[in-house]
Amino acid sequence: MTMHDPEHDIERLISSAGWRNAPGAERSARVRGVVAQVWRQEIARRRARRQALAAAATLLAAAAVLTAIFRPAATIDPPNVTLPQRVASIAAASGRVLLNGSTTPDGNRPGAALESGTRLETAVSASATLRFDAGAELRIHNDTALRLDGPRSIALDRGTIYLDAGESAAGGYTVTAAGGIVLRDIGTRFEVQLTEGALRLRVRDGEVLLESARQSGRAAAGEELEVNREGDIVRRKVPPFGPDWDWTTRAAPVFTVENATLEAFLDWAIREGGWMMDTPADAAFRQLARTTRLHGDISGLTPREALAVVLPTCGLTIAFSGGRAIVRKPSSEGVPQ
Amino acid sequence: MDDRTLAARALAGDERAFDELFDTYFPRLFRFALRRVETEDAAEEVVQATFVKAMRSLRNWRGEASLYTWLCAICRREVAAHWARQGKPPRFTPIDDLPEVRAALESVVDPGGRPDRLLERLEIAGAVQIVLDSLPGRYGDILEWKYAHGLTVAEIAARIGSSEKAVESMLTRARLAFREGFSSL
Repeated sequence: MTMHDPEHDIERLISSAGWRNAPGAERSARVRGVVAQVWRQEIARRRARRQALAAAATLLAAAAVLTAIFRPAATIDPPNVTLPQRVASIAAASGRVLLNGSTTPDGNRPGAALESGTRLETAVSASATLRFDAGAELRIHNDTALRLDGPRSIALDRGTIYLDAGESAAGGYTVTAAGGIVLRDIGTRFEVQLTEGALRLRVRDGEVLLESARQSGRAAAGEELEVNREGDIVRRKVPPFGPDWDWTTRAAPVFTVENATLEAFLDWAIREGGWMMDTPADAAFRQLARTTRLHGDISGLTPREALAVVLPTCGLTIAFSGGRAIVRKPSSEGVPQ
Repeated sequence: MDDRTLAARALAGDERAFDELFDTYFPRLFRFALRRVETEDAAEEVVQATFVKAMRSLRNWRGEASLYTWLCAICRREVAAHWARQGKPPRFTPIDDLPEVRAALESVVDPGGRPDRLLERLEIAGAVQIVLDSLPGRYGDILEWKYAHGLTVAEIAARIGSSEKAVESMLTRARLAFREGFSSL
């Protein structure tokens, strides 16, 4: 097409074509958040690499100087600049937990420090929880083997893990698995299971990016992605509550009920159980929750069982409907049957 | 900020450069993807995957093609992967995937190519919008703001944080680029 009066023609063409579709602000913000996270990780990774190279160069230069002064004829070994660093500690463990291939008391000792490069393995009837120094909690199911690759990095060899990045954490944890699959959390809680070359990702809240050699995808809260041996991804819905998640509570340190407030207990139960908690909205209930002190022990109980045991002792009822846990005072209206 | 500067600053960790890169290219890539997949949600997923890959390999972009052309190449692969996941062949053949049109649009950045006129086969409004998306930097945006939204030069200057004189100059270059791109169809 030719244009004779350029500015007039351009104005006419563009005005008649109308506005181009713009992605909505919510959509744009959602993608920006994910992309910015990846960009920051990439920048941090490049900086760390540059620093490591600079450190290596400095060490090499220093070693060369020292060699020239003191041992002119000697050869030097290349410096090891990736020294192990403490990245996590044991928060809870039960059963046989192996560290670097051997059973040591540290494997079951809460507070025992774990360095980068540590290999951890749980026996068929064991479980453990690690607390990363960067803030996240990693729960490890039975018959699982993994390696701590860094302050926010886990390599899963087999089995099932559950990562809780914590409410205040900005995310940035990665889980790598066989086949070059990489999972990156965006401030979230998720479970990864690796069996016989197939990987299953279940996201309880937040979002997780999944990347493999063949494709990438994103899983949001309530979604499950399964990557089969051929690298195909199957997406399904999965409830963030229910018996499938109970192992994560069993692997965690037991919630100490003794002298805890009802409010703290309910917060724990919501987070562990995965429900939306529906409680009376009145000030009297809030006061009751803040001031009531609990007594006893809920070891071995699931969050659902614990709610059923504890709440009646506070004069409250509990009912479950879909994804909601409904707490009521017996006199209040709307108690589900 | 031209593409090379933008990429270099983003690689250096400049948050403003990242924002500008995202703001400049996200809407354009979203429309690019939307012409190739079935829903806005699918387009979002495809464009997000495109940007994630682009952020990881930005250092490999050498500036031989424009940043938009490079991003579109990644996006095309993500679209193909999307349809492969569906187990279906692509349902659409967008006009800007026709080889002649691609060559014409890429010649906006590298003038010289004069493919056969195809506009008779294209829907004009769609072609105008595709050409706007293909212009370098934010030329497409300022042309649309000026002629479709009716913004004044002063309003555009305020929107992009620039002087009126600079905007006048950009408009002149943008019109030339648009004319070049559109005439080549």
